[in-house]
Amino acid sequence: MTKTRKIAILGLLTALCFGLSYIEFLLPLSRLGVPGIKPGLANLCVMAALYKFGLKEAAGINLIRIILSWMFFGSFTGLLYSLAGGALSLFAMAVLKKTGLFSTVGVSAAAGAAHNVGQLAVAAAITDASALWYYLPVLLSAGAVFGAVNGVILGVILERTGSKTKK
Amino acid sequence: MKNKRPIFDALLISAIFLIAGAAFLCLKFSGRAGDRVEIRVGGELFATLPLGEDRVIDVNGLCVVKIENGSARVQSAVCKNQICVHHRPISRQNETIVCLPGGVTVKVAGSGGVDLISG
Amino acid sequence: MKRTFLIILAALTLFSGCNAAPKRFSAVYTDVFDTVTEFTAYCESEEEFESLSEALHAELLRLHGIFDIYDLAEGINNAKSLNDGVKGDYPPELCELISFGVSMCELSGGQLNIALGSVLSLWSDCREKGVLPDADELLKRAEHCDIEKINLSGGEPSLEDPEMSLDFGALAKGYAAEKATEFLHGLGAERFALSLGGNISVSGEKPDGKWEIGVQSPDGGILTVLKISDLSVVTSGDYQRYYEVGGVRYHHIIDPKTLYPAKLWRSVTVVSKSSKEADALSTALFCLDLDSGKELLEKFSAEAVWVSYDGEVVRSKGFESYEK
Repeated sequence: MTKTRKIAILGLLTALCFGLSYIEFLLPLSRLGVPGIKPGLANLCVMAALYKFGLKEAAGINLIRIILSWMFFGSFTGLLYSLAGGALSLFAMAVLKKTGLFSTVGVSAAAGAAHNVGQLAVAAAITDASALWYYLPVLLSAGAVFGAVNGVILGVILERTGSKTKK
Repeated sequence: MKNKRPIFDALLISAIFLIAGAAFLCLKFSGRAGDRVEIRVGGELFATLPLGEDRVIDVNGLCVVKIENGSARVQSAVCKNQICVHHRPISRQNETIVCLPGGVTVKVAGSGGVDLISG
Repeated sequence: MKRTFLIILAALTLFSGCNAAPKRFSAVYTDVFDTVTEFTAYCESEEEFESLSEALHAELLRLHGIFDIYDLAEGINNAKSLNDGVKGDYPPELCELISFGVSMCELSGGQLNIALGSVLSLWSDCREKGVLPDADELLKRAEHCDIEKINLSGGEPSLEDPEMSLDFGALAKGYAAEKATEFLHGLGAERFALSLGGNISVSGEKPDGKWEIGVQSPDGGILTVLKISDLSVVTSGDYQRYYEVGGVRYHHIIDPKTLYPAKLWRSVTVVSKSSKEADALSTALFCLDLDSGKELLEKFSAEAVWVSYDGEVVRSKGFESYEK
């Protein structure tokens, strides 16, 4: 792949990522009464970048998305949650992918759960720590379920676009 | 894709659910009915109030907590996302509603049925 | 004839006895003494409780206005007027609180000082900004904390040092709880419990026994439960009001000796017949080591429980008699 092509694809992924973040922002998920539950659609692009290119590119896209979301429709504490969640989830997916044991479904499910744990950890540091354990089960499960669904979607995308772009 | 075995995926996802389940059971196990709510703002104790008496209380203008029929809920909040307002009413020990933007936590506690708390 | 009369009388007594079974009511006010006030009482009817609660609320608002050091009160001179140097008549409650403060200062060897206002206001300004006070500024302000400079001449108190200011944070709630209890007695109330932000004063007993008061543990939860009647319980703790700078917690109880938050105890709870003494003592003991604290306690008929930074719980000799 040429350098230009790579830059173009990464740019597209970043834009798509930010767009998906916005869609998530519009979803009326607050009605569930649990902070932090979201489908993690934006994570799809981050994972696509990880599989297509590598950790560095995925981290870049993730960081840009988080900062853009913060500037456009977030708060500063929201930025902290996203950074912690984003970092932990990227770490989880990179490590699990490296083992070579799991398909995109497993990697994405773990990434989703890790993302929510990261956010919870920041929230616990900011407020009353003991209080937030209460949210752990539901956030872990939701992260895994949404993550697994994303993993299936990503599997299809990678198959159609040819997952062996980069070796 | 073909060389990945779905069994590992299944194991991984089961493990996550297992942890979630264990955490849930832990919370459930300690989930006896509470009789007081502790309202904190940024970790500082704002008030400890009995669950047994209906009332509405304004927490420093950040949110309004309503205690009704032995459970507590956030009636309104100044925050943008209103997650805490949509949280179901809480009544069991350690159940908590958090309003993150305002830094308010509303937590159910047990006190062995005392009349008031000095603190 | 006489017998019939007696039977009717007995029936009436029985009937009214049933009717008069007191019920438990409770009210909360959030606009007095910058804290949450909870009033629980046993009354025969809701109307009776409502009128009691309304009168109490008005009385607490009045007292709050008199002891307020932040805002002036309408129509009367209050603590802020005094700090501002206004001359004139002052309400008897303020004069009484000042002379109580002066006597507590003497008895505690200067440990409880109502003239510490200038130092305390610097701390509270800094708490709002989230910064630490300048050490030199603290020392400079400490020069204007001489309680001897309070002039208490017949209803017209004044401060000889214009840079001095009074702060009743360690006394006002306890004193107000005591005044409010007297006020409620005057209205005929007998069985009630009043909590001014954890400053508790109980009167009489519940129909089913003594009042049960939990003592807050510094780490959350209940340290111990007291079964009491006609007593006051006040707790001073480092968890009640604080802020953090660079990961270090600075709470609101300033030791007059060091001008910094006291670092000896996590919390001290005092039980006493007198609510104002309990309030003053809990603050004083919070800044004193155990032996000095016990010595001070012996001058009053009060008991205490201390919680140290290691989580050790120390009780004064007679404290256990109040525990469940």
